[in-house]
Amino acid sequence: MKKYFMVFKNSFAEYFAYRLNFFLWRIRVVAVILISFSLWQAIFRTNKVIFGYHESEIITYIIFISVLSGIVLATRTDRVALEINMGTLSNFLILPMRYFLFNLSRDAADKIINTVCSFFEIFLFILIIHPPIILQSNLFLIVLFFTASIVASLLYFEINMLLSFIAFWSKETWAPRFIFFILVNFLAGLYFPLDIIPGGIYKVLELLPFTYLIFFPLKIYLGHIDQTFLIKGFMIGIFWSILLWLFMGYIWRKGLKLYTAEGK
Amino acid sequence: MLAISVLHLKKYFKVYRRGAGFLPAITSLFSRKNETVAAVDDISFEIKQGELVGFIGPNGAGKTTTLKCLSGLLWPSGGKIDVLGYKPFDKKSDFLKKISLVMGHKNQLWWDLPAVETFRLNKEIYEISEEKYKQNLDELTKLLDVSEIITIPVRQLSLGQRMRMELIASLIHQPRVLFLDEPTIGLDVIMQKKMRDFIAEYNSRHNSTILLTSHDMADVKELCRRVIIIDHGKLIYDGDLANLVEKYADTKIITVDIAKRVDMKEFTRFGKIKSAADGKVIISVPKKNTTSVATTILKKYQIEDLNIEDPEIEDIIRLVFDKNKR
Amino acid sequence: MSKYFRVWLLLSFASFQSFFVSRIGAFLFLVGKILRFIFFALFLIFLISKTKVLAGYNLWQVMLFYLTFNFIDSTTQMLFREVYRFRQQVISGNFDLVLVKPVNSLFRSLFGWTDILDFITLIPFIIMIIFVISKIPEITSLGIVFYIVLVVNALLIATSFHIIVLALAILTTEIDHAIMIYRDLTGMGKIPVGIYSEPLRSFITFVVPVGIMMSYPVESLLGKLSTGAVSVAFFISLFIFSLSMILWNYAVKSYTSASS
Repeated sequence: MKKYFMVFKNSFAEYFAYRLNFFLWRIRVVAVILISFSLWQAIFRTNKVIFGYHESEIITYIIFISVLSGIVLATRTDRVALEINMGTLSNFLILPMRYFLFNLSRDAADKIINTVCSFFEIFLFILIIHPPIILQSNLFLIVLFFTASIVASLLYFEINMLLSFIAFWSKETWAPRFIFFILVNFLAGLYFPLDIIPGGIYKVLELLPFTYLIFFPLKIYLGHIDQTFLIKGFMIGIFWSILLWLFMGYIWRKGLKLYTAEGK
Repeated sequence: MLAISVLHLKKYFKVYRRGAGFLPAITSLFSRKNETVAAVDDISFEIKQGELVGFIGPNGAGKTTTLKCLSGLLWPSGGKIDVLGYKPFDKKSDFLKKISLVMGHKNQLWWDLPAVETFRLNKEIYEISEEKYKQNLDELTKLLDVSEIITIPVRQLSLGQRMRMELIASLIHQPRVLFLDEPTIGLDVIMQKKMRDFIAEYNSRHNSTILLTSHDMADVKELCRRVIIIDHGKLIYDGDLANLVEKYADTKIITVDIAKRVDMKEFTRFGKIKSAADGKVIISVPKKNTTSVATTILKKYQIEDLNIEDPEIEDIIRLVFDKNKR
Repeated sequence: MSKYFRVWLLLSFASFQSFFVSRIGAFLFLVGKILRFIFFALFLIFLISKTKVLAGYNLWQVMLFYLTFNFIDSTTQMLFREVYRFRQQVISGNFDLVLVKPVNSLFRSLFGWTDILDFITLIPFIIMIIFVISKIPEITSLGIVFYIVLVVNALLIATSFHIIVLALAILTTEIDHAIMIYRDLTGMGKIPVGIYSEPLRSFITFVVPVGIMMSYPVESLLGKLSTGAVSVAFFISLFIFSLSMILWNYAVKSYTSASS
C-alpha cells in the first residue's frame, strides 16, 4: 500500500515543479466556466425562469461544475497512451505494482489538487461576485451527491483508460480522445443541465454513461428530485461502471498480449 | 587567413536549486534559489581557414557552449567572437550561409518524408543554384554511400543512415566553417570510422575549417593535428597533439614479452604495472628512467620482444585534467 | 521576399504530405472540430429560440458573432499550427538547427507547418457568414469594409499572441500549454463580449484584447462601434505587436539551448 502512497505523493510534487504551468492550468479551467456563467447570467437578466430552472439553480449548477470537474474529470490517464506508445509501459510491468492501482493513485493526486483549488476559486468567486448560489443543507442529498461523484470518477477513469488502450493498436490516440472530450463537454452537461433538452433526446441521453459524469451528481445536489430519478440514475450509472470495468480488463489483457508479442 | 577568432569569451548560465521533499516543493512555489554557472570562463584562441581542430574536455567542460556561441545560437556574456568576419550572434544571412552546425542527436529531417525533401528545402533556404545543388548532392551521397536511400522516408532508416542524411542536409550548401558536436556519438564502430574518414576527406577536398568537439579520443587521434583542451570553462591547452604528449607525458610505456616465466612482482621496482598476463608485461616508467630500465630488463631476463611507446592519449589527457583540478 | 514564399510553400507541402501518413487521425480531428462547432451552435440556437434575445442581440446577430469567432480562430489555427510543436523543438534542442539557418527563425516557427485541412473549413465559414449577414437588415457597405479591416486587425493581434507564446516557450520551459491558454481566453469571444459583466468585460476587451479581436468586427458592422473605439483597436494591436517583437528578441538573446 505504501508504494501507492509514494506514487500519490510524487504525482502531487510534480505539480509544484511546474508551478507556473499549474497556475495557468487553473486559469484555463476558470476561463471555461466563465463562458457558461456569463451566458446564463445574461439570459437571466431578461427571464426569471427558463426551462423550469431559477437563476440560483443554474448558477449553482455552473459554478459547481468546477468542483465536480476536479473530482470527476481530473485525470492523468492520457499518460497511459503515451506509455504504451513509447514503450515505457514495460518499466511498469516489471515493477511489483498493479498498473491500475498505480493509475488510480496518480489520478487521486490530480483529483485532490484540482478539487482543492476549485474550492478556493469558488470561495473567491462568491466573495467577489456574490452570485445567487444554493447551499444544500439536506445531508442525505449531500451524501448521495458524493456517492454519485465517486461513481462518476470511476466511470470517467474507465472510459479514459479504454481510450488510452487504443494505443495498443494505433499511434493515433489523440484524435479519438479529442472527440470524446467534445462529446463529454456537451453530453455530460458541462454547458447546461441536460434535462432542458427536449424529451426524446433526453431519454436517449439518460441511457448513456455521459449523463452520469456531471449532470447526475449535480442534479442530486440541487435537490427537487424524486425517488425514481435517484434509483434509475444510480442503477444505470452503476451498471455502466461495472460493464466498463469488465470491458477495460478484457481490452487490457488483449492489448497486453499484443504489446508483449511485439517485444517493445 | 583567419577563419575564427575568439577573445576572452565568457558565457554564464543561471541554474535553479530546489530541495527534495514535500515542504521545499511547496515553498518553491514562492521562491527559488539561483546560482550562476560559468560554462565558459575566459577563453581565447584563433583558427585559420582549413584547419581541423579538436575540442576536448570532459562532460560539462564548456565545449558545446563554445561551439554554440561560435555559431550564433548563444549570446556571449562577455568577450569578442569573429567568424569569417562576422559577429555570429547577429545571425546575418550571409554568415549563416557559410557555416554549418551538426549535433549528435538533434535532427532537422522531416520524419515522414524522404530525406531528399529536406535537402530541397535547405536548397531554397540557402539559396543554392540548381546546378550547385545537384553537384553537392552527388558528391555527398557518393562520399557517404547513400545514393540508393535518399528517397526512402526517414523514419524507415536506421540510426546510422539517418545520421548520414543529417550530415548531407547540413552540408548541402558547402559551408566554409563546420561545427561538429560529438559527431560519432551513439554510432557503432564501423559507422564511426566511416564518419571520421568522411570528415577528413571533406576537410582536405574543400579546405573547410572544421571544429569538432568530442570526448571520444579516437575521433581526435585520427582527425586532429591540433587540439584545444577545455575543462571547467577554461582553456588548458592549445596546440599540436604531438606536443601535448611531449609536454605532459612524464612517463613512457614499456611492453615486454618474456620468454621464461618470471614473477611479475619483480617488475614493480621498475615502475607501475599496467597489466601482466600470459608472459606480457606492460609497465609505466618515469621518462628519465626509460633507458636504464630497458637496459636492465634486457640484461636480466630472457626477452622475446621489448617496445617503448608514449602513453595513450587518453591517459595524457586524464593527466592534464587531474593537474587542472588541483 | 520570393525566397520566403518558396520556403513557405515547401514547408506547407511537407505538412500536407505528412497528413497522408496519419489520415485517420487528421480525419477524426476534423470530425471533432465540426462536432464542436455544431454542438455549441445548436446550444446557442436552442437557448435563443427560447429567450428570443441575448443581451440585446437577436439570433442572427449572435450567430454572426459566433461565426466570426470561428473564422478568425480557424484561420489562426491553420496558419500557426507550428507553434503547437515549438516547445518540443526547444526542449529537444532541434530549435538550434532552426536558429542556425539563413531563414528568420520567427517566420519558420510561426508558419512552418500550415494546416491545409483547416483552410478547407474556412470556405463554409465564409459562406455562412455571408448568409447570416444577408439576414441582418441595415447593413452598409462601409460597415462591411470596417468588418473586414477589423478581422484583419484581429489576425494581427492573434499573430502577436502567438509570437508571445513562442517567446515564452524559449524563456521558460515551464509552460507546456501556453498556447492552450490563448485558446481558452480567446474562446471567451465565442459570444458577444457585451454579455460579460464588468469588470470582466473591460478586462477581456482591453487587457487581453479578445473583445477587440472577436466582437469589434461584428459590432462595427452593426453600426454599434464609434470611430474612437476603432482607433483604440488599431492602437492596441500595434502596441501588442511591438511588445511581442521586443519579447521575442529578448528571448532569442536569453536562449540557453538544450544541453547536449
